[in-house]
Amino acid sequence: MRPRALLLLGAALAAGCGGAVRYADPGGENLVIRTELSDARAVLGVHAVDAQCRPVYEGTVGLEPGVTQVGIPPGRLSYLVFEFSTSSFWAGRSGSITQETLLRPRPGATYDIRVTYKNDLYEVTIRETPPRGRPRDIPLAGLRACQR
Amino acid sequence: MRTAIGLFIAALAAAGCAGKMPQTADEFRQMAPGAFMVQVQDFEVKRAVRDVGETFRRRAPECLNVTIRTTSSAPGSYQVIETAYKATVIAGASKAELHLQQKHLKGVIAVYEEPVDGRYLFVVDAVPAGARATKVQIIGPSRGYDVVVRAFKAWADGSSTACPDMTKIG
Repeated sequence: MRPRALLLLGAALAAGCGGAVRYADPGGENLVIRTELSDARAVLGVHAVDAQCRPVYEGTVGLEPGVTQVGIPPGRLSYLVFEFSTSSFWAGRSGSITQETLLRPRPGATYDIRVTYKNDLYEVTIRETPPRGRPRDIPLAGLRACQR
Repeated sequence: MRTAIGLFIAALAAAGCAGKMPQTADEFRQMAPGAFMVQVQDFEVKRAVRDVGETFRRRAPECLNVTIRTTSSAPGSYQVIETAYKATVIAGASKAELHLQQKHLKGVIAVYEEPVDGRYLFVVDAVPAGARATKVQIIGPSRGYDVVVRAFKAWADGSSTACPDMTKIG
């Protein structure tokens, strides 16, 4: 009975019972995410935003060191949550911290996103390259900016 | 974290402020230097004070206005601490100030009466030191908050705008 229960628990965890589901990428790959990590894990939570400015969770993308390409719908407001997690077995503690931003991708534009976590310092920067015109840095904007 | 907080309170008590937590940044400036476990760091950066203030204004709220939940476990114990941080930036042409306050929401009992947004943890002052240089002073705990100090220094000298991982402090 006990091994079976453990197997069921393992299967449930593998199926994503932790709450995170894999983001169903619609294609387009307009986000080019360059990730640099040391002693941390990172994921990107993708949310749509409803008319009342509430985030609607769509899924999570694991960010490994290197380049990850993700597509989010152009012209629609999305809420991106970058989450960094660290844990220390010896210190017996774990923690996670997030950096969020609203983003409404312009049709045809690509977004170069740099995600870094080094020496306990983290940063997310976004640079937009439109189909025509010069690239520009996009400031991060929290959910409050949706209501403005 | 609890140990560091205890030491910090002890430091302020040793400085003669037992029962009287600094209620303003100015009181903190006056009470903290010279206290046990409190460090005052002075350094100069080759940037105008206006630029230093602009970086503080741009980064401090985004990086430091956070609520952090940390869990720690040891054999026989499990602790959850929830802490809110609040940054205030006052920046102009002739000076820049960054105040960081810390308020425990769960897991730690406040011994003394605190300001509404929590006890003053850091006060950073930047003043001109010539046309394109700025003198910076950081007053804060001498241990446990290294990541915050590194971020402040990087913001001041312009080498990085990265945020400190506030789950790593204490």
